[in-house]
Amino acid sequence: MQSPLTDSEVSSAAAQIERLRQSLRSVLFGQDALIENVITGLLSRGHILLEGLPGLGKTELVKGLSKSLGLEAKRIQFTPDLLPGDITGNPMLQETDTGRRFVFQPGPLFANLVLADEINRASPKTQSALLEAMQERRVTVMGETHLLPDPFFVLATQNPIELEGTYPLPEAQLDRFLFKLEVRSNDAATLEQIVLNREIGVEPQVSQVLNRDELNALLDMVRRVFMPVPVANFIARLVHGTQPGQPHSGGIHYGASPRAALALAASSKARAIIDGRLNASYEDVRDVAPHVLRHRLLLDYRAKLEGLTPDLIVTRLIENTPAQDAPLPTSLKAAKLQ
Amino acid sequence: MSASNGSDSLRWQSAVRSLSSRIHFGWWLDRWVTLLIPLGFVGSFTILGLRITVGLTFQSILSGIASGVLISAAAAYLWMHRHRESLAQTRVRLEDALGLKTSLTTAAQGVGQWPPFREGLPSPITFQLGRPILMVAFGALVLAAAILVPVTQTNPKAPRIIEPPSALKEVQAWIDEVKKNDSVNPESIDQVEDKIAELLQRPAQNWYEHASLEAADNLRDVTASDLQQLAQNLAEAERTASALASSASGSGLPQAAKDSLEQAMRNASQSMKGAGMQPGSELMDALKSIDPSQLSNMSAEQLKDLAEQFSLNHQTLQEALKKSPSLDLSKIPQGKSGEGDGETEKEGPGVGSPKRGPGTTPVTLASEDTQLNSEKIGNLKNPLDLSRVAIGDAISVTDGTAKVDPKAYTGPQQGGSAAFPGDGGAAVWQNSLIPAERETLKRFFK
Repeated sequence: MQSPLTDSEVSSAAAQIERLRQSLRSVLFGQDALIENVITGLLSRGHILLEGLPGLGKTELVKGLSKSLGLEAKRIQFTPDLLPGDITGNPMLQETDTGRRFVFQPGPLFANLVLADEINRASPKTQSALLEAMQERRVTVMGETHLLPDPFFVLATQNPIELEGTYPLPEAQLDRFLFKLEVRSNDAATLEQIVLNREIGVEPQVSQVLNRDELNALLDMVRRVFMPVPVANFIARLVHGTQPGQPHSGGIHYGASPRAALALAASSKARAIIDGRLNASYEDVRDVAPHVLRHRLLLDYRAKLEGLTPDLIVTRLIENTPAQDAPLPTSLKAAKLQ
Repeated sequence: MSASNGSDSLRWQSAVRSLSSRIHFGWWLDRWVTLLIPLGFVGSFTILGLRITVGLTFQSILSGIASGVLISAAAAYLWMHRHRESLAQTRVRLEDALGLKTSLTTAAQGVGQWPPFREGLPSPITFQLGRPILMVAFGALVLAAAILVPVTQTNPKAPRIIEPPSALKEVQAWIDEVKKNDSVNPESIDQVEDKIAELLQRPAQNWYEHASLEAADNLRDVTASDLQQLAQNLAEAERTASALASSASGSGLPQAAKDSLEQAMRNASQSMKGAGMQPGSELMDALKSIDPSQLSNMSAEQLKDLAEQFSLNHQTLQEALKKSPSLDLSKIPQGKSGEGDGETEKEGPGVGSPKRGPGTTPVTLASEDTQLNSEKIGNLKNPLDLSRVAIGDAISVTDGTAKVDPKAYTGPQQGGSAAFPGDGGAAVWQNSLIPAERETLKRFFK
């Protein structure tokens, strides 16, 4: 069992994360929540699916992240004619000292940070090539397995409009994304800030705030965050509540998998360390639950008819899942004091 | 752990315990008021029932209600104790309500420090007393209605009276009557009363057992028999004494008849002395003073006095028991007024005996043959019950001639036949003879 964190370790980690946050804020204006969630996903060793309209800064965010962390970043533009070998790499016939032989040429997946742009435009065959890479962090080509660099993160984007000629991601692949984040449009003040501080064609200057070792240390610290039993119980009840037939799971055709519970636990820990705490809490779970669960719930036709969205269902579920499961007597009423 | 953190720990744990107590009180209140409604109904019905049957004082009603409330409170406490919430669960409630981000649970598990205690900590729960108050008020209303509604009390305190068996009552009635005058010796009465008392000494619920009833019936039969025997002996003794008195006064009787009378007198006297029911004390003293062997030497006046005493005792006994139809002593003939068995206007000779009345005695003192009257046929005099009549039973029989209506419909008639054949012979033979016979008759008349 890993030793619990100390207050000084947590303070140090929180300071490093704050530096990273400030660095990303200089790249992406007015998207503090998105930045917070991306850092949470990153510290949870999870892959993130970004959904938003073009031009909102998704690519800039990934670039800024790679620069801030000093990680190798690669971008793959997914198109319908993209082949699996195009992203994993192919064995090429090469002249070597021992003669001609096939030498594996790594594809763009071999990077610390992979931006899979418009992932839903690639064919299912190519999308499935990402499955092994995302889950097991390795690539197998012609029976030969190649480990991906550590750390390895996939940040995929998809456009919620222009769905003609796209291939919606299968459930198995969606389940491998820790978060599905929605990139929202900027307000006028943010746009003003962008106009004043940015120019077309000019890359923003981002300095590195963390190196690879510091990042790996942070990732290890996240794993050591204390998970109290009541919080684990809360996560379990929340995920179980998404199963059809549960009291507040109306509209859900298929619920979240155990992988969702693990994702909730990991991201809650990351959120705790971002907040400078030694332990995960119910609040952390409530914060990350919509991002973890929204792409893992398959709604039924009634929910679609009634205009229910996964976000609405998750919100309803969180409201109806108390931290303490034991009921109160009817002569008492819980008071929300915050 | 620093001193301040130790203090925080204590204060947070105290706050958790305080919250736990309030939650447990809430559970107890919930369960108690839930019990109050059925308890109120049961209590009100009980109070009403007891008020109607035995009557209750206000103090006893209040103590009963207090007991019920205490018992229900104890039951609610036991339930609450079994389902009590652990301190860890209460701690989760507290930290979640206060937004402490699981710091209390984490600190309680030894990870990290207790957060600084907040002064004036607001309660994460509030009481909603509307429902409990309403239910308590409803229960009290039901009980108050049961206490205040006017009822008529029955009289359950009246003891259950078990009447002695009728046979004993009958015997007691006879004894009570004969005690009023000196018709029966008190010693005999005491003996019967002792027997009655012995039978009534058994528990009242056993009076109607088969054995008790049999014993009571037996006592009644024996007592009735003794009384009848006494009356019989008195009548017989009176007649004998009268006959002896008349003999002594000069009406000459053969010596054998006199001896027979004296013997009968001795027998009657002996029988009275040894019977279960002895005559009155005065007569008994007189009988004891008479020497049976000296009857022939007694004067006519003495015998007449003796007969008078027998008659008086007999009359007294009859008078006492005349209200007892089951013990009818009037059929026992009086010595003077009753008709004897001597010759009467009836056909045949009289049987004759010392019991004979006026008339010529055939001086046949032999005992009479048993007459069973078996030649008589008893008739059932009860009217016929039509509801139980069976097929074939004769409902009534009347005498008279049958009335036949000649014009009555006699059923379908064959076509061509005469409705009224008349009295002529032609019609008779035409309708009654077969074709061959008709041809023979035609040939004859040609």
